[in-house]
Parts: sequence; C-alpha cells; structure tokens
Amino acid sequence: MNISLSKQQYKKLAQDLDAIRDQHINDLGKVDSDYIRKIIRLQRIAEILGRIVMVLGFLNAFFWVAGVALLSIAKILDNMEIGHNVLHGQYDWMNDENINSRTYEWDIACDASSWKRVHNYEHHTYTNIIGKDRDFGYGLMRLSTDIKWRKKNMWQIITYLNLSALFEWGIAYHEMAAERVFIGRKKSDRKQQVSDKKLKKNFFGKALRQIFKDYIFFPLIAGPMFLPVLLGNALANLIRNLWTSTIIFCGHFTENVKTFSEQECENETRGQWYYRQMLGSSNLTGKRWFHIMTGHLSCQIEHHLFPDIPAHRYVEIAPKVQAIAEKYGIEYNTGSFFMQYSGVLRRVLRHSFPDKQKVKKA
Amino acid sequence: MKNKIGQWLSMALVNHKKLSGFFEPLIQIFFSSYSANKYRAKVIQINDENNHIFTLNLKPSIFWKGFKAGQHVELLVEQNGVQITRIFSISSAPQLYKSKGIIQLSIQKQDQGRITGWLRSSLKSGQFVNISPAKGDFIIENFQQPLLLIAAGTGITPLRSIMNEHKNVSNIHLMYYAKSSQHIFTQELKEIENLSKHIKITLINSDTSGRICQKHLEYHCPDFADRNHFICGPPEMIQSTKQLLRDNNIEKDLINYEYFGAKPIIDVNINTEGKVSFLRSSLQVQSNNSNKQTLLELAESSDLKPTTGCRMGICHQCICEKKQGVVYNTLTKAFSDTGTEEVQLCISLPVGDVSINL
Repeated sequence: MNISLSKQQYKKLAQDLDAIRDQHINDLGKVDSDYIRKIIRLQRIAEILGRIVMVLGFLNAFFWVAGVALLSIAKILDNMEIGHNVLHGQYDWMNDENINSRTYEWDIACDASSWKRVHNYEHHTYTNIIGKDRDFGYGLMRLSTDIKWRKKNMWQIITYLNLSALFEWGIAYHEMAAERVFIGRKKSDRKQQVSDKKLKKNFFGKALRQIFKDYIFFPLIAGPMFLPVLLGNALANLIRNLWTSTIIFCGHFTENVKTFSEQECENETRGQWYYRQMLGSSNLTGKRWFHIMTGHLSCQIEHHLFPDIPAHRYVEIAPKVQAIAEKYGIEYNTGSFFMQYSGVLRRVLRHSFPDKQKVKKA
Repeated sequence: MKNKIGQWLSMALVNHKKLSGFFEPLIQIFFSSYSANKYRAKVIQINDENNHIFTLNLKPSIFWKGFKAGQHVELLVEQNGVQITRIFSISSAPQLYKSKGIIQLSIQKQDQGRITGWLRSSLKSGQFVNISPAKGDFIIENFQQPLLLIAAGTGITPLRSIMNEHKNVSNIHLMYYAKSSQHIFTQELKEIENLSKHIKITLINSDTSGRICQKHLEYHCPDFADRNHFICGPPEMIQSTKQLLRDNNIEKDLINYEYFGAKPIIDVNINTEGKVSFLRSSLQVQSNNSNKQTLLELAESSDLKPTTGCRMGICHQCICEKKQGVVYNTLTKAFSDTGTEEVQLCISLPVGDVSINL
C-alpha cells in the first residue's frame, strides 16, 4: 500500500520536476560533451594499459594484479558511465556517431539493441509494477510480498549470489527472453516485434564476440602468458559483474523501495509516474569517484526521473529533487552504500520465506 | 569478405565497426578535431566578400583526396558540444589546391540560420574543422564545348571554381545575377575576362533587371542554344531557368544544375494531406498539401527538437522510427512501406496519415 497525493499535488509535482528537466535539457552543451569525452578517454587508457600490463605479469605478479584492476575499471566505466548512459540517449544531441544510442555497443554480453528495447522501454516505463517490470527480481527472486512464494525462493540468496557473479549473462539472457516471451508470443497484437531468429542471432553473435575477445584472442596473443591473461580477463569480468549487480540492486531492491500493482498505475498521469519513479528507486551517497564508477546510478532516483539527462548532472540535481520530495511528503530513499546494501540482503532474505501474516490470514 | 571479417574482428575486440572509432578519442588528445571518418582541415584565414558573404580558407590534411571544379564538401564543426554538418561548394579552383594546398568555401550568412553567422564570428585562424571528401557531379567533362554558366546569389561559388579552372581552355560565358551591389568576386572575374576573348562575363542586377528570362538570354548570350549549361542558385531560380532552357529545345544532357541548400520539395507532385502523430510526445499535426513540409519541419513546427544535421538527407542524424503510414523520400524518390522502419525526417514527406516514434 502506498500513500498517495491529491490530484492537484500530482499536477504540482509534475510541474516542479518538469521545471528541473527543462532547465537541464536547455542547458546541454560543451560541459556535457567534454565530460563524456574525458570519461571515454579514461576508459580507453585504462583498457589498453590494463591489457598490456597484465601480460607483464611474468616479470612480477604485481603487474598482473594491476592489469586486472585496470581492466576491471575500464569495463565498469564502459558499462556504467559510458554505455548505460549513452544507450539511454543522454548524449544523442551531440550528433557524434560514436557517442550515440543508435550505434553504441558495449563491452558486456548483452547486445545493445536488446538492452534498449527491454531496459529503456519496459523497465523505465513500468518501473516496479509487479507483473510488468520484469527487472523486479528478474523472475528469479521474490522481493516483495506481492509476489507468490515458491519453494525455490528458500535458497534465493544463493540464486542472488550466482546471478551477481554471472550478471552480464543473466542480463543478456533476460533481455532476450523478454522480447521473445512477452512481445513475440503473449502480445501478438504488437506491431514492433523482433523475430525469435533475430533475437537468437543477436544473443549468440554478441556472446561469441565477447568470448572470442576475452578468452581466445587476447590470451592467444599473450603467447606463454595465455593462462594468466585468460584468468585475468575472467576475473575482470567477474569484478565488473559483482559491481554492476550490486549497484543495480542497491538502486531498486533496498529495504524501503515500494512496488505497485497494475491497477494502481492504470491511466497514470505524469505526476503519478514521477511519484512512482521516486518511490521505486533508491540512492547511494558517496564521493565523486564513486558516483562515476556507478555510472551515476548512485542517483538512481534522479536517473529514473530524468533518464535522458546526462548522468553526471544527477549529483547536482539530487538536492533539488530531495527538497521536492520533502515538500510533498514523499519518501526519498538514500543512504550510504553499506546501509543500502545490507537492506538489499535483508530484503532478499526476508522474502525467502512465506509471509507470516498472509499465512495467518489464509 | 575481407571487409566482413575485419568488421567482425573490430566489433569483437573494441565494439566499434572500425578500430579507428575506438582509438579516435585517444588520437584527439594529440590532434584536436581528429575524426576517423572525416578529414581534418585547418582554418587559414577568413575574408569578408561583402556584408553577407565570407570566404573560409581551409588547408585540408594531406590525406584529403582533392576535388574537381564544381564539387562540394560537407563542413563539420562543433558548436557548444553539438556536431554540425553543412554543405558548401568549393569556390576556389583545384589549381589553388595543387599549388598551395588551400581550398575556399564562400558562405552566405543566412538571416535566420543559427550556423552560418556563428561560423563567421567564432571560427578562428589556426583552428581545426572537419571536411568530407569532395562530392558531386556538377563538373565539366567536355571543356571543348562552349559553356554558359548561370549563377544567382551565392550560386556563384561553384561557378567561380569552374571559371578559374577552365579559363585558359574553354569558351565561357557567365551570366551572374545578384541584388544591387551584392555581386562578389567582381575584381577577380574582370581579370579573368581580360585574359581571353573567349570569356565573357555579364553581371546582372536582379533588383533592376529582374530574374532570368528569354530576353536576357537572347540579349546577353545570343548563341546560348549551342552551349553546355551550368546553373547554380536558389531552387526557384534553378526550376525556372531549367524550364526556360527546355522551352528553347535544349537537350536535357546539356542542362546541368546544382541545388543550393536543401533539396527542394516544391516540384514534388504528391498529396501530402494527412495527420502526422508524434507518439512519444503525444502530439498531432496536420500536414497540408498546399504548403508541403517534411516530417522534420512538421516536428519542429510543433516545438519538437529532433536531432538534425545537414537537413538534406546526407548525414543520417535525424533518422527516426516510423511506426505506421507511408512517407515519400525526396532524395531517392521512393515511397516507403506502410509498416515500421527507420526514416530520415528531413527528406520524408508524409503521404496520408503517418505516426512517428518521436
């Protein structure tokens, strides 16, 4: 159950948030293009250095460790601050063909076109509506009392840890299945559907390219360092998986994040949509480097309110959104990483078992 | 085949279709404005021809492959973080490029344009911009045949290049229309005229003499029917001049023209009456047949700001998804399917009701 505002308040809320949006949309310019180019340069340097330094591991194991760290940073920057945000169209206005949501492809198993179809559309439109937002628990976990308990939920903390470790593959599979099952089969009246064949081709094509790069090509050209490079690449992918998964769980599945039913969201106004986005996300506090490494998903609330505003502006927007939340008495869910992450774990654990009250009622 | 493997490898290793796309940001640290798909060009000097027109002197990188008189380039500059593409004819001759490595673009400051005036005030010598390879088939293949060049306004630019390049070999007559005291390059044209008795230049004041007509042709260039014609100017001027020459039974092959600015849609004979829906912004506008507008113009008239570039179907930046309905492509002169597909807004005319994902 969620508290709600009056019609008038929803309207005012939409006006207040639209004003922030307009201010930033009209202000896009060199600050933003310089910023994203700087991050892209950093990513390139980290990736190239990382791959080279890792091979130097034969001189000293320290090089290998440094290489893995650099490559992990490169992959995290590519996925979070660059890929995720570019694919949201945050930098499309630059007209740069390499920094454009139509053409960008990222260093992760999930191919960019599937991601845009499912994540940008489904998750961002139907955020936290049980039954419509398939990202809520990814169909693997029960993270709300609105979802029926099943036996498999008993060990969902293990499922969660496995998902985190294999996050890129989980996402790749998830985004593919979404199109196939939902749009392809269930909603046959939809015009824009991608054939199963194309989905599979995209999935296996991207998977093959990623495997080729990290587990065949770069290990092979390292010659005698084949095995260390292979392991280093695998480790970098693992670190990236754990990091992205953790950040994303902190943005949506912390203890106090609210869920919504389909009925609640019928004929939703813009104000109500904003309201749902605010309650359906949670923020992390931290230093600037931390925000950058999370792709500013540490400001998940602002990202869900304004998914197409360049993410580096979220930090500046956040206090204004928080003030608006306070004005309308809407909960603004923010906290330190450790606080929010322990909330995630509590949530996963709590819903592993059937709800006591419900059992009593039944 | 080789290309395909290369592209696959590049996609696999760096997630870019070309390796250069991945390295571009790094190369830019050392070479500002480096672009993998375009050429760098250094701004050498900017001269005002008059109050409205200025000439940009550029020195393209050594990798640029040169041009033929009459061709144009895309000029790519960054304005407040936004990459902007505009197309300009090269107004200098290939000879100048061969001897000094310089090309000139003569640009009219559009009263309502947000780019051309800005170019004049913000470009500085020493700065780098990007250009495309030279393009276009507004070139002279047979310079034995006498030429009649007809220019209006800034339409003089490719013709100035042609005059300079062919002044020593061809028989050329130039009829150059412009408003009072708006003729440019007059000094230079006079010098060319003095060079040879085969060259004749007629400057016509369109304020007093009006637009081109049968009388002008017969009076200024009595042997026009025996010449090869090159026309450059605003779309209406090209339309009427083409028609005038056709009325004089001049073969189509001998009428060459270069549109200046966006491709004209005035001569498209298609009914564009219909409702255009912009789905994401839940807006609808009426498209009229009397005042034909492209999807881009319709979107902008409803205060939408789709990404745009050249506005003439070249840069592919305004591509948007059409959900339903038929559009007519003014560049390829083809009709679309009725279903979902990507269309270029700037060269698409709605044919009946259309919905766009914008």
